[in-house]
Amino acid sequence: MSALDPNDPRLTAYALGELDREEAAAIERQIAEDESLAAAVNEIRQTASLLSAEFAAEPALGLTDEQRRSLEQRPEPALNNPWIFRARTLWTGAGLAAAACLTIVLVLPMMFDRARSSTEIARSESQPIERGIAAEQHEFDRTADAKRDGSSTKLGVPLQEFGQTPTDSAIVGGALDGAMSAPPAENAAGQGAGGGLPPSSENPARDPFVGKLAAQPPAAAPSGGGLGGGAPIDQQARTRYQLESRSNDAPSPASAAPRPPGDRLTEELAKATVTRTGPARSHERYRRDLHFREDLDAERDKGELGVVKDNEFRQPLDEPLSTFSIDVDTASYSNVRQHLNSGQLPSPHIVRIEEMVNYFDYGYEAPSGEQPFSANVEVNAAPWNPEHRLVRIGLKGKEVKTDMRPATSLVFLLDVSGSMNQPNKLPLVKQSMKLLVDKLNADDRLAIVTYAGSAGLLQDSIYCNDENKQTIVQRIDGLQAGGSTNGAGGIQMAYEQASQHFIKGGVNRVILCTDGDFNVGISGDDELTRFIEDKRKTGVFLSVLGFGTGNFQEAKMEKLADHGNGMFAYIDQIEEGKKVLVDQMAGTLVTIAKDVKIQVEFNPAKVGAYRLIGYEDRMLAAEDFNDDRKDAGEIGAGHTVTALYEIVPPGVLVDAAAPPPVDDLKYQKRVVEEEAEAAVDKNEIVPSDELLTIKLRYKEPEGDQSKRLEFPVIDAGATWDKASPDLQFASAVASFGMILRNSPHKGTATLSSVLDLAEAGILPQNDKEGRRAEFRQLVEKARTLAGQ
Amino acid sequence: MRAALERYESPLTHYAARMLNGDVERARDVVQDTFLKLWTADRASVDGHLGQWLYRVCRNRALDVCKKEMRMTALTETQLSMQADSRSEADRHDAAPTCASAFAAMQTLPQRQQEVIRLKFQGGLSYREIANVMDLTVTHVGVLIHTGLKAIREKMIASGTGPSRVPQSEVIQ
Repeated sequence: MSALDPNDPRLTAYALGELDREEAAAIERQIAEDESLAAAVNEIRQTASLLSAEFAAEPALGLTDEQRRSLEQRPEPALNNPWIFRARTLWTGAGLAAAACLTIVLVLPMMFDRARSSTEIARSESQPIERGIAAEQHEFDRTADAKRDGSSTKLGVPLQEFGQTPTDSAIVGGALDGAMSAPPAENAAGQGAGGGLPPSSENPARDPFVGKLAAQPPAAAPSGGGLGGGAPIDQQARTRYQLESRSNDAPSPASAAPRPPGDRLTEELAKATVTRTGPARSHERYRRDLHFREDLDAERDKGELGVVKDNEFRQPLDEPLSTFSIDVDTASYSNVRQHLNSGQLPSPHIVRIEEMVNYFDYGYEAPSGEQPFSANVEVNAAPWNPEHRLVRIGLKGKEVKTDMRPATSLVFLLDVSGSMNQPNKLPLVKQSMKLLVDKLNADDRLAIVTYAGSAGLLQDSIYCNDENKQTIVQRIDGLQAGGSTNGAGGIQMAYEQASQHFIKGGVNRVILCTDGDFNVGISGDDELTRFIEDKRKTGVFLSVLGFGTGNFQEAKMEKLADHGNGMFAYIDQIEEGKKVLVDQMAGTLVTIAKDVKIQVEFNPAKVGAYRLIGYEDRMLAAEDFNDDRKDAGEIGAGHTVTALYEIVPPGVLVDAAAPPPVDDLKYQKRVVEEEAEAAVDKNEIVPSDELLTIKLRYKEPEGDQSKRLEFPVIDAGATWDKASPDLQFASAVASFGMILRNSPHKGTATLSSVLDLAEAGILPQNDKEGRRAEFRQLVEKARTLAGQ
Repeated sequence: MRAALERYESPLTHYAARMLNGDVERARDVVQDTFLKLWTADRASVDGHLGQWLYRVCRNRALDVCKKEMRMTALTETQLSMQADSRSEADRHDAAPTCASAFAAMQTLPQRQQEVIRLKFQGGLSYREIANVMDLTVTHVGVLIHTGLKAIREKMIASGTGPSRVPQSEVIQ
């Protein structure tokens, strides 16, 4: 290397760590010999750190809330209305330009220019869509008749070890599969044909219910036009509207209705003349830990600002993989029940469909052999939309007999703040605990720590032999809520007990019982979450039991339980306490597999679009599936976990209520926009009869390395008369959830159709505890409350 | 995706605002468009170099807007004068000799040096990434940053606020 002088740019590159090791070493040698070089490097670093610090201190400058919302409600390109997608692509860009314009005179020439100058651009982006259209069109032609036949039978695919092919499960469908098994050879060739689908005859006037909802936004949406509107307004139209009319603070729901073609230009112009205002977002928000921000966002979406948007339909050509973490929480169902029993319809934001569906046990076949759980798949029609298919994935955890369960060390961390002093709170906690204590064995341990009232160690961890049980029950009876808040450290104390009396190879768990007061001794959500996570790594898990109503921070409770590898349940009545702590004690306490993730790959030749029902806050990125560092849900002994996918066969419209397309523009040719990194690789479709492939990953409770299972699913085209009672019941619960959420995807579901489905799903042998019967009563109550 | 928004929203808006002569409103539009692009972009083309991707798309957007603005200013007198008013400090760097901070010193630099420095110290991009964003060679980026940092240091020393030359003895240890 040539000799350096202090003014050599390589010195700056070295100081900023931009050089590779070899170059850096060479420069280091020279610096060691030349003080002036060392001084120069030091100066560069000083200036650099000053700059970094000052950049970091720049006042946060971000999008307006309106803009953020429109991004967060990220529009998904829908299968059936490509014109909207295209319009968005084009008009977003045009809108940007138009913002700079003041008069119409300027707009047109400018747009011309734009059209001319950006012909090459972002072709990549529109390709998949166009290809989707072409393929869809193609498939539509081929299968228009076949798809209506809906032949066949229920399919139960047994769990297959990875690599094996299904044997008995490979039931080949009838007309449907026959028509579809040939790969759509022309699908890629159609990519230039951007004409889109013609307005379909299956595309009648919009669903009247959409209008109705637009006029009545869900009560739970405190912020009007915000996330709370997550209900059945056509999300795309709505988002697009927000995009184009940022100047209006809150677009009224009515304006989300499709506008007549041609009024966009007017709107663009109107917008250009309005001064936009938007509150700058607070500086503080930028300073928070990034990972935690995501959690907070999820949380905010869930509880505080409104409803998490239902998962949208996705196209396998765009997103072939759907990845999520299992969820065995059931709190949402108890919460819904509590609302209905107290005579009010639950607000949409507390309705989490997967938690409702998972509240119930289904008679899935138990796993045999070594595997900790089995997977059971059933494919049938979707009751709320007979043209669609419904895929049920059911996992069943290995049963552990209550008397066979490993020794358990429990620490109850009890909220005894004044607010717990209500009949449905502390007394219910006490009752539930006593039920549990009664079932514990002499080699189990239990400790009680209280916080937020008279804080402290109420009961040191002791073995639950009969003598000690009496002591424990006395302690429980003596519990009182209220009093001054003194002393922090409740949670540390609880975990201290847990680790001091850790049972190796056993179940070690802290059970937090609260009505939403988290004054546990660690303030700051961030810190608390980390604390729980750290403890999780030592083998002490956290479960959260929620009590009462009102200041019920269920989002936070759920999150804490997730981070603690435990479950979150909401106890609204003593029966629920019994279910969670006694009937399902093994399941609640004994984790048989952790970080259970499901990834489904859809076959584009068989699936036009798919949608996971529920699990909105459990979605993972595709790459998280194989990433063992990513936390996911746990499955307890004997637990069942159910996930439902709604599948739109190729050629069937996703949403018949979509607005009609706008006319093609006269003065502008449709162009695509520039992109930094163009070029999408085209994927060839591999011919296969399979509808989808389910992949599972899980870890043993003590393990760090995940295991992988995979099994393919073929749709044999079963019709509803072949549906199992479990599937009928699960779809009843899912429909009920969609109705309560005002989901845009509820199709033809009504409360009476829910009752019919539930009725078919309730058999004496699958409802010994009467939970399904109770569900039926709840639907009846909802019907009365809804005035139907 | 949200994390991307959180991480880059403010830096990108600042960056775009610089490109657009300080027009924050338009910068927001550009940033919103950038993220819309991201939502629909092919993941494979973004993964691993998100920052670079965002800055590049944002830059191209902003340049588009600039170009359009130039055309329009040719047409309307008012806009022309407005734009003249909004000319940023970048073009007045001769006029501002005292610099209270490294940041203020940076703002007196030529536009291009400012841009690389922003990409480097705000965006955290590497030389290579900056080169990709701005269509420069890596060497050129190195020279721009080097010259920029040097100028900043000198301006700060001249105004008496900057880090004075560090005594050599300190450096050695």
